[in-house]
Amino acid sequence: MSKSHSPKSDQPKEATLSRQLAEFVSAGDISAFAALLEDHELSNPFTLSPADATTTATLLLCAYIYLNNLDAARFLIKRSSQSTLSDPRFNVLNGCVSALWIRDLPTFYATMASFRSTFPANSTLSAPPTPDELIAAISKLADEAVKDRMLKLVARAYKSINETDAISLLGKQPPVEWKREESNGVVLVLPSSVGENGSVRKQSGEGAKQLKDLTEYVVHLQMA
Amino acid sequence: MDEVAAHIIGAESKSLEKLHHLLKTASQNVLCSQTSDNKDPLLLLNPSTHSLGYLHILVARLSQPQADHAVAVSAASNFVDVFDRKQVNIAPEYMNMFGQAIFRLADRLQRPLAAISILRKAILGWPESPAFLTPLHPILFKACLLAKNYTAALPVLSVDISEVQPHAYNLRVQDFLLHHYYGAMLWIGLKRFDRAFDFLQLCITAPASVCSVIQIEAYRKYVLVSLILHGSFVPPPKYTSAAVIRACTSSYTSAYTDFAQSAKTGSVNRIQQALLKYHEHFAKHRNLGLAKQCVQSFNRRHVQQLTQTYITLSLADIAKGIRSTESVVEGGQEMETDTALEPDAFKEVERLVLRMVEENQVFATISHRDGGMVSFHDLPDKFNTEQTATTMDDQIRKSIAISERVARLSKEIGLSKDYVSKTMQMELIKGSSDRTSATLMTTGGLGGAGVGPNYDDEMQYEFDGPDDA
Repeated sequence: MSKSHSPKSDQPKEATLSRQLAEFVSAGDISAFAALLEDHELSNPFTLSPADATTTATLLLCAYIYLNNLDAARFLIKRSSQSTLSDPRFNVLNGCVSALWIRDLPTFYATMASFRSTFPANSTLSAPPTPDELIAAISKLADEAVKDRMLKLVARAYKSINETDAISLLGKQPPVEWKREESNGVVLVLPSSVGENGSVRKQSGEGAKQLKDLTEYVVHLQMA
Repeated sequence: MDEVAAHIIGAESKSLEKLHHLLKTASQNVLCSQTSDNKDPLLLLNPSTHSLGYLHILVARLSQPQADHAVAVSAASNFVDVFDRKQVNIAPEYMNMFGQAIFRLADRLQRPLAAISILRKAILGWPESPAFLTPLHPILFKACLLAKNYTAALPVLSVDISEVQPHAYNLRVQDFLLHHYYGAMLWIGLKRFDRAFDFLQLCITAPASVCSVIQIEAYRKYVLVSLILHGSFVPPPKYTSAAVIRACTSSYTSAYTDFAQSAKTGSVNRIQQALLKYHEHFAKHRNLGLAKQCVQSFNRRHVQQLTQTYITLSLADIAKGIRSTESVVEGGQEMETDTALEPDAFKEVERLVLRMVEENQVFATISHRDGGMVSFHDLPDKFNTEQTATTMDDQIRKSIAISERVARLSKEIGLSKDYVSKTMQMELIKGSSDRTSATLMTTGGLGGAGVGPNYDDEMQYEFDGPDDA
């Protein structure tokens, strides 16, 4: 993906890969983004230059943080070469994964904030995007995804929470809907969080299909 | 090489067996050489139409330590995309050698990732269905373990093996054992302890007159995974071979048995003491991480058990329960000794409960306003959603498919020569023992009573035989 290092014959392939990755980032389909990078890593074990391998690993690590797949992130770190591990950007993200692993969220947010300050994301990606642009875009999405996940978790797991704990878990100011109360410090009272999971099944209007399925089950039981 | 290439190109589908024997006798040097006009035979031959010959040359080339690996790997990658299964099935031992050679080359070049994609495509393209075991399966799993890329194995790992044909695929019993042992290690890495448990059980319960070292290693992991998954040791099934049970419950696994015994007490302290005691054992067998996960799982199990007794509980009480309350019998009286809780203990417990809520292991809400109280709730899912109905439909269809497969297997076994001859032997033995008991009954040996109305006719047929024409 770094044009200065790869032979000219690889450049159109790299440009295609970068374009595909940019499409997935724009669509928010980070699972497909990660799958494409995993396939790229497996299919080019000999032709991937150290710089390309590092860029691939960096993008993949951000994707795993977004997807909350910390096991895959740890295995990626374990199998990365020495040159990738000593890359400053990868090293910082390694620290982010370590912090997330032990749920040290204040450290994660601080480390991610300093990483993103070196890679400010543009509102649109160029065609094809550069590796730095892709890293900036995916790291922004990863940071926001972690904050969003923590907000949903806190809303689900707490009836009331100390304001300082809330800020350290969320990485930002809590929502204004949470009421403030003075009770051994400032406590935030959350709206009721226990609710039904999913929507109630509606009449699907697929009577014929259901009848067909039931008939197959009964025939199978009869034959057995 | 010209002669060999000519034979490969000219071979028809009926003469492939002859070609295979010819190539088997060709020397390594000939198979690795170029043609007389200095061309690489791998570039001249078509891997799709000349799969058998291509395979022989590829195996020879990959096995050469000084070979140009870039060309060989590229050829191997092309081969697994397009090879003809019928041709390759004539030489299953060569597919095994191909897998071994690719793995060794990747290992030699210290790029274990290189073997994964090629092996995976070979496995998905070679057998007629993914449910067939091949010798390439354990090689792929080993490559994924060494490359620390566990998810790459999932397309193969997630398919249950139900067909094992040793002759068709050149399988040994070690391939079966290693497939399930390595597969269990991959599932453990992916935190799917239920699947790991199944795989380890299949490895341990493989029929054996002598226990394999693979089964002993599998048993060690089986004990620990059983503790993580079920909270206690689940003994292997009754049909496990006696030789395996004897070996596995011997001194080879005494540390693990003791560790499982400590888990029976239900005291986290005891389990932690056992972990410290056998720390070196576990580290030597590379099971220390798994043993530590056992201790963590006990803490979680303790919190889950609390939900069955309490609706609301304080973080302090949960911390006391997890940490260090131990009954001590002293002077005939039971005393409880509470060790003082560190200030961080509440935070640690809160983090644990939050983690369990995140992973849906418990349904609870924490309230700081009430001084750190945890309220436990029932499962919020009422199972009345579209998703539940779809899941149930899928499971019913899977059950139907499995029962159809079992019926088909039962019919195949029933028609097999071995089964029929054994059944006939058993019938003859049973028949002769029936005649013996009948004879005893008619001569009063057994009391003489109870002779049926058609007995004389049956006896007549038995001893006189059918009339000849």
